[in-house]
Amino acid sequence: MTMKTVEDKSKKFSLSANLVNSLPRILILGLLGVVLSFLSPYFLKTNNLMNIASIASIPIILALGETLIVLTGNIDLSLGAVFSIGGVVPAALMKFLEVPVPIAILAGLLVGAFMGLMNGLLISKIKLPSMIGSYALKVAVTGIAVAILQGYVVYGFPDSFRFLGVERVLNIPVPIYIATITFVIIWLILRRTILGRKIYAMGANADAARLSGIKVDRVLIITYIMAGVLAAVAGIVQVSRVNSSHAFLGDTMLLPAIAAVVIGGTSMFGGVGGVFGTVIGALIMSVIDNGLNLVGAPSILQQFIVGVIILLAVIIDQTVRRIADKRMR
Amino acid sequence: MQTIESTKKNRILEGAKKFIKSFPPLTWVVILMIIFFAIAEPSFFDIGNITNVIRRGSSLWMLATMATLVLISGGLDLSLGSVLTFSGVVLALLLKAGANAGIASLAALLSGTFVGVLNGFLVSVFGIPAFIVTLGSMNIFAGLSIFFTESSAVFISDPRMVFFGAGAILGIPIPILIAVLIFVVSFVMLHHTSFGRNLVAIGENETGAHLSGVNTRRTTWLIYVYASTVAALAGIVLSSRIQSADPTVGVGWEFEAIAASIMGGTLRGKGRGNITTTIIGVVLILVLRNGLNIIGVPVMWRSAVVGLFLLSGIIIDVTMRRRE
Repeated sequence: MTMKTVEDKSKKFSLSANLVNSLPRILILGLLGVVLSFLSPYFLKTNNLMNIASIASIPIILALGETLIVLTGNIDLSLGAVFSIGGVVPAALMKFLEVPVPIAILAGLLVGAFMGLMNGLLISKIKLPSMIGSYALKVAVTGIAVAILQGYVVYGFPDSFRFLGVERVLNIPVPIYIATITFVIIWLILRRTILGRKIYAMGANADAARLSGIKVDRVLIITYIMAGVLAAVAGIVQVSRVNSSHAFLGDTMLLPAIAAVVIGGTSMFGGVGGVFGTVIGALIMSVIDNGLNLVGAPSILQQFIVGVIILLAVIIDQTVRRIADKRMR
Repeated sequence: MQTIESTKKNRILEGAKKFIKSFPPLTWVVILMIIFFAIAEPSFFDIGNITNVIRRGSSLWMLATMATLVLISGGLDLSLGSVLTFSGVVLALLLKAGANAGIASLAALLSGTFVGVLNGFLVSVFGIPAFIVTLGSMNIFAGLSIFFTESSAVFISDPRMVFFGAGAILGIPIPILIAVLIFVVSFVMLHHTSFGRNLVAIGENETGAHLSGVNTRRTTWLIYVYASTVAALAGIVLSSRIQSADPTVGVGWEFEAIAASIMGGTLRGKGRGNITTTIIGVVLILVLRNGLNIIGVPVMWRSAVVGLFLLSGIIIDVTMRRRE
């Protein structure tokens, strides 16, 4: 009995702690919304909000995968390239070989899983530092994607494929459903399964996790496969939404995804954070992007702005952590 | 007498063995590759082609030397390629605005120093992981390069800069002289100064180095400043040589530099990187790129071949080293 009450208390505590942790981010999101609604009368229109959520779905899916990796204390710099090739493979299959849509999609997902497996092996078995292993894989994957499409842009896909990116069900765009389902699944895995526990344990202290009997290599490989599949899902939805595919589609997606993870409060050292924060982080990134469009900022500056945001986010994050650490002592 | 002579011989033999062993395993791959390309296409050995390769190689070598120094200190610099681009853009735009060549070069060089100060500050003082700091600055300065040039190349016609990039002193092209100079300075710094020893100590064990009195913060900061400044110099050399500043010229260079460094035997965080053999990695990349071009591999396949080759090169090197 006493055991149970203790457990219940700790659960309650962690839930409220989660909420407290996310509160500043939710406030920032709200504040951005208020500012933008003053700057542009279009911002709060249902259509614009729906549009933001629909566009944000894709980075959210990608960022959820990156969150898993960062929680283990690693990084995946290849997810942008996996995003590209995850869209390129089904696109090429549909356009060049006229393969049926479901099989093409499945092929895309398998490619994502395979790239995740490669990443996991490079990092756990070859023991490359994750940032170097995944970066090397990124370069190779991008090269393969270029070679598959021979540098062309393919466009115009069957309606059944475009359903994923543009259709609405109950007046809500399909990408929002996909992102929501993905979020729920990943949240459940992290919070309600042993695998989730192991991911957190590994990120907090990989050596301790290994010594306490966790098969660290296997956890890492599974996590990278999940991230690879999620990147492919995001890539497929994006190709379906914009109705075209090319080898560099995902190049600009990686940085905002990492920014979303950092803004979402997941520690770059692993073991701390979660997917709820990442969703808020991705929404913040999308709202900023939308806001820049609405106020007419040059799109050429986007890369610069994302870079600045990511640095600011890590600086703020690190400062807050330090202050918290000092108080704890 | 005889024994002394034989030990002398033994010593020479052992020295030679040691010398050969100190080469990274990929040296043999490079030699095989050169033979392959030379047989497949004899024009590979044309003096024009070789000079061309070496000229292009000087900027990459400078960058790879810097990547090695940063890796030896246990860090990582993904912004080197962006710095290379950005300094070229600063140079070209200032020249276009009518600035003196010397002033423009100095400003371009300082732009690199600035990025290094920023990177080093965030890594050493704030303790933010190097890959995320340099990923951020990589995008900031790539973005700024595109913004300032409105995403089109800016030409450089100033005769002094053109001489700097394409000229020669005593028959040796200036870019190569600069690259060799940078290598010598870096080598001396790494192996014959306390700064270099501190760098290795930090790479092996940062906490240990800190506890034994090394100013880890300052050393880490300085190495990022040095790396970025030299990357900017490489950018000045490159843009002077091709007589234009292209806002995307440096994309991927940071990877080639890091890959060259790892294939040359730099194991991250182990502090036993070898700044000399980095050149093996550089030569491998240059030979591969040039060879693929010369034997007529289609452009679209080249990046895939290079990427896969470098990936397997890194894997081979790391696994073989562990076996030792």
